[in-house]
Amino acid sequence: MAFIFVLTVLFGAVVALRTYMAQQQMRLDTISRDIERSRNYFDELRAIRAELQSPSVLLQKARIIGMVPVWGTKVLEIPADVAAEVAATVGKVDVDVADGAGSPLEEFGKLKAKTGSIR
Amino acid sequence: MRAPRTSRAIAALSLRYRAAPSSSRSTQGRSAAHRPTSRPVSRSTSSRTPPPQRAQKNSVKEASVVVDKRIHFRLAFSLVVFIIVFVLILGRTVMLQTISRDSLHAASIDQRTRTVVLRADRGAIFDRNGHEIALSVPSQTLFVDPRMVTDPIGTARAIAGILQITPEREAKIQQVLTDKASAFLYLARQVDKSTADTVLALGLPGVSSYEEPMRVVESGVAGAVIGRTDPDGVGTAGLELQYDKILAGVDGVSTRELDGRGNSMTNSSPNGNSGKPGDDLVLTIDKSLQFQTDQALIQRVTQLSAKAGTVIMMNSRTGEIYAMSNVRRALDGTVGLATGNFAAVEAHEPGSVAKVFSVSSALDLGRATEDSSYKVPGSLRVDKFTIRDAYSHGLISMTTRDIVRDSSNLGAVKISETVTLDEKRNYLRAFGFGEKTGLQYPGESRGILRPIKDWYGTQKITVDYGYGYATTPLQMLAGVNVVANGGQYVAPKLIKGIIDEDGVIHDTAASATHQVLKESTATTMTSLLKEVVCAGTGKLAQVKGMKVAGKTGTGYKAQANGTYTTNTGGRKYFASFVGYFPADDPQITMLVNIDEPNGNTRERFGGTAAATVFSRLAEVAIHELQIPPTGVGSGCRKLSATASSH
Repeated sequence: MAFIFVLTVLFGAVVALRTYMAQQQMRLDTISRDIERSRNYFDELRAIRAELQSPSVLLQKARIIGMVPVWGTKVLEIPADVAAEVAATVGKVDVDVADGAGSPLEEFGKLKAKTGSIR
Repeated sequence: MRAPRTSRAIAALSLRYRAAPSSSRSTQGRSAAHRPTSRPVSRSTSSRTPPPQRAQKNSVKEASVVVDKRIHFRLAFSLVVFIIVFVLILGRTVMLQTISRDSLHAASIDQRTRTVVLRADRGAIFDRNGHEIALSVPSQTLFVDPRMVTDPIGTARAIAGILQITPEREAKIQQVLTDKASAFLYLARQVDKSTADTVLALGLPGVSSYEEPMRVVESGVAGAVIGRTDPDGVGTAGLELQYDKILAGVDGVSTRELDGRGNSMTNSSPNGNSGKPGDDLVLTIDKSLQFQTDQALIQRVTQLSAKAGTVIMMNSRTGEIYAMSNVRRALDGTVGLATGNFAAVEAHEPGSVAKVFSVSSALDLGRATEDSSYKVPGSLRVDKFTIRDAYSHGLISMTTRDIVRDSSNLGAVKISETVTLDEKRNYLRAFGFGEKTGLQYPGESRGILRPIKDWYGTQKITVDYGYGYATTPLQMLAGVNVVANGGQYVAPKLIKGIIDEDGVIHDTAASATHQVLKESTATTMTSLLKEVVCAGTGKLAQVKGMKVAGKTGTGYKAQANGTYTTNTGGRKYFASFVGYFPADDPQITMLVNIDEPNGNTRERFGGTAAATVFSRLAEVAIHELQIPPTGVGSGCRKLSATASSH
């Protein structure tokens, strides 16, 4: 009786384990599909962003709001006293503040390092 | 099954040979009859059996022995058969486990596993500021299995309506669907998801789709330089071809055990490798500059009713190309971006821009100075050909400065009389003519620069003012840039860096350089070229707030009839301007070519057709690249005054 009991328990354990493994495998399949979908979505968004940033789209949007291309440039000489006054008032601009946004290439590099090999 | 049957036979034999001493015995059940030899029963029977029955007893005994022999024989036979069968099974098992193991194992794997090729993501192409120019985006490819199609005509009609395909293509699809000779037909490759969903929503039998990446060149910016890929993502032209191995990466493989529904089976983790995504390219191109260059050139080519145009904008020090624009007039008359990078693959005779090379060679050799004076005739007859300047004049005295400023062909010939043919050709080679630039662009032309032994007749002197050899626009730009860069040749460069699979940006090696002219020669030449812009043929290239140096070029195009005159007696022109700024500390060198501007107007010259484009784009570059102005004006007034004193 004890033997039968142990055997039953063992079989039960194996069945439970196999069921659990099957569940996990299905989960893995689902996650893989989700990753694939997310990657595709990421690529689509990249393409949309690139399009929105493209000069042709910007030009079109600028025209819609009434902007026109600049024709001709006039270079003015700033009197030394005016230049000195502005410099004294404004001070030196911190480079980090002036160029606050990081390089898009570096941002992309970081992202690629994390997701590049995921498939 | 054989053993019980044998037992029953033995029992039957025992009953048959055994007398039925009593009814009670005969009625014994089947269980009793099962006793095989009934030795105890016989013994007890014999003890009670009367003597007359002894003979019968003996006969029964004999019968029993016979039965025993038969049983033994059958048992032995069964054993032998069993052993033979067992040996056969064992042998077969051994064979399956050894000899046939590999093939069966492979067949087994093939039956329950699916191996999927994971196409490596093709790397993107960025401009120098990190903006995507070319990238792969997901798309849908529609296909049909003709064997499953029940209504070929209706199916072809419905698909044609949504995909807007031509009647010829529709007829072809209908034919294939009707024939049912194949199991696969592409309906449309790489369409957007909404289009694919619309087709699939019709529920047409046999019509299905799968996902594959599609290459997109954003707004066509620098499309001619970037090139293209085929539908399978393999580079076929331009940088896509040149850097295909880097961009393509390495495909991966995934092997899974699947159930009937295509889901992974329990305890079967996927095997294989995920491959390696392609590396990304970072170009030296500036997307914004490229776009504005394209627009300006399209507008100018349209205005001049020209055939084509080319603009290249390059960093004078590093050789990095900021913009490379190619514009062409199509057969229907519309002007648009060219599909090929003609700046690198098409060669023309350079025309008067070549005077930069011939004059600087003479200056560098010390055979002339900027103030050397020459008696320049109104015409010169060489080998039955008469050479003249673009403007008529008699015998006049001209300095080197005057000759360059007014772009005198005969003056250039006079200056170069002091230079040997060997020296001329060596200098031209050093300026980069007759060999490919460092770009190694697919299909790049090396131009034409023949050995001296092949220089015949007038060619020996026409090389001094730009005829008798051919250069690509890229070569010509790099040649003039020698002067801008202090006499040092720097090879043009299009690739700024490569981003590897770990996201690390690797800058490419600096362009190859070699010294062509002495620095002092380059400085002198720059002063001459500034005068071209301030007081000579290139006045329209002046830029407010910036000193510019440059040279105009107006060449006749060689015709198929072997002359420079068309069959109708006309001329076709090739107008150029190559310059750089700020003239005294150059940062940008730019070339503008206008191919076949309208020959009936004054806008056919390099100083008119091309110099205006240079001026306009120089302003754009100053803004985009934040180049500080050199002053309020063009810096020409003072220079002209100085020049007039010479």
